[in-house]
Amino acid sequence: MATIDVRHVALLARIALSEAESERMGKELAAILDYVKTLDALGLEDETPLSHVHDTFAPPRPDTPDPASCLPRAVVLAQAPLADDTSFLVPPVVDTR
Amino acid sequence: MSRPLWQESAGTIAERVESGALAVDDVVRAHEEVAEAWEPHVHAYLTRVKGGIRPNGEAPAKRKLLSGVPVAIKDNLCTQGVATTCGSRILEGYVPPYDATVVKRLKAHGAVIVGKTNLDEFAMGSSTENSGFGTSRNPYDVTRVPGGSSGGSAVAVATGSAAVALGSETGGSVRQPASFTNLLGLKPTYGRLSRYGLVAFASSMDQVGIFSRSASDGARVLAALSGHDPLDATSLPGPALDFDALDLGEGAARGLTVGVPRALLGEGLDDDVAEGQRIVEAALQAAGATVREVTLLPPSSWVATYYLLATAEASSNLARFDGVRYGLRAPAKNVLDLYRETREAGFGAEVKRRILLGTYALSAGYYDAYYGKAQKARRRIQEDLLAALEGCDALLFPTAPTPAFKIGEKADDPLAMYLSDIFTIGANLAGLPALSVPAGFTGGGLPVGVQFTARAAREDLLYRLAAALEHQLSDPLERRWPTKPS
Repeated sequence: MATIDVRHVALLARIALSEAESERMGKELAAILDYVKTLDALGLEDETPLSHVHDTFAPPRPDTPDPASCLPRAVVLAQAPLADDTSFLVPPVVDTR
Repeated sequence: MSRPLWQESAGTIAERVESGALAVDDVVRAHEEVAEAWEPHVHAYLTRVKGGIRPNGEAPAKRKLLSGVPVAIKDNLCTQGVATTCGSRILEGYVPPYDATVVKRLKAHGAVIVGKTNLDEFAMGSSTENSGFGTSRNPYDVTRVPGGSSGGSAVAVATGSAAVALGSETGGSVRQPASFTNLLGLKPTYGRLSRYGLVAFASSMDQVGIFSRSASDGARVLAALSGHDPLDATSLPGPALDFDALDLGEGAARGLTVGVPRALLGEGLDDDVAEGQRIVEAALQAAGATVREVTLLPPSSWVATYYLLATAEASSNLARFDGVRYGLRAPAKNVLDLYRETREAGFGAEVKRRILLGTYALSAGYYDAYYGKAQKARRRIQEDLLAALEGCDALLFPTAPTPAFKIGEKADDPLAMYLSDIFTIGANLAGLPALSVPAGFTGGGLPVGVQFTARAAREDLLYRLAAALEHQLSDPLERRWPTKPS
């Protein structure tokens, strides 16, 4: 069975998992990854990866500014847990203690 | 024959409202009464809007298809001024400043949005048990799940508190609950309906879907909402489905060929679901369609591929929920802890599980073994489905291997829960349209469903086949309604 360093993955994913959650997730993820091994039977070495299901999409829209379709700054900031008149506010990015 | 307003079709409501024979207020009130009676038993809604969200200054469509039609919408579609939670505590209190394109188009067609429906958190689940705001219940047996993730929307239409509803699909989240609640559930071609304003889970598969009680009503909604949207870069070019040109009469399936992958109908398939498949095959033949056998890769490969790709995309999409711009924020001394503590407090267990799996599948040293391999498998699966469709107009197989399961039955076994989507995921991986249709009931009174899958942009064939079944098997207006518990 696969083993996963759940604590490392949780740090990458920016989730402060508890010890109990880490242990449980480790077992559940290993079971899922074992199931995923069924893909090995397909023999995919020479296959071309597919990332878009359709060959063509609509042409991109013109790359021109469209201020009318932008939300006013005050409307956007009103949703923030903490903001002043111009910016989202966050705790220190660099811990200087 | 006259029937209560809440049992009327969307088509009848729209035509009578448009002609002035019916007042929108009366329609809305009749549906609200149903919601009030059922909600304590089923919990379909997260937000109900008294009187409904009415069209408000939107330029009306040239031919309005949904005048006065009460529509429920899944709570991962943005509604201007009305809370949108995605069933997650991390978005509690979030009120979008704009409408999703499909919401705008509903309004332009005169529809009334009656409320926002319950879902598995961020549409991740198959039962609504992963909702941060309680589980919805199946109206045909309230000890069972309604399916998911769009379970609330299914319950709304099945009980009659809405005439039609919108859900969303990434791996079967409209078709599976439709099959559990005696409804039609459409997953359109990828790109057919705009994703603008649909909160992203796995962007290469996400698609807005439609619940209806008849083929005609489903096609009507698709016609109203489809057509290119410049705000979604993956929106397909081309016009909307032409509702008036669609033949849904008795001969709708005459001359069509339907492929059945017999190997899928073996072990693990519930007897009543297998019987539903047999009944539908016989009805199609009676309707003048031809049924032939086709072969497909084992659907276990669909599940394995899906749970790598969808989780990888989710791990990236859900990075935006970080406590900075909207929603929940946990107290923290520095910004890294702000992200970590907010996400720990705001996400439920299944969302964390999928973010972790996706992060792992994309991480250095594992990318080729998991994500890269799954992308190759996706190509193989799409080619396999398209090969099976050569010489057929549609494929036919069950929507889910069982009828609705008990609440709690699979809650502690993520893999068992994932396998309840085993038959639906192929269409999402391949970007093809698929429609679940009712296929009768079990001896215990639970609905079962089967699904049709067609080539890209051929939703018309799906609804023609569904209409032919209605003519052969049962008039949707004489449907078996669930009985409210006393």
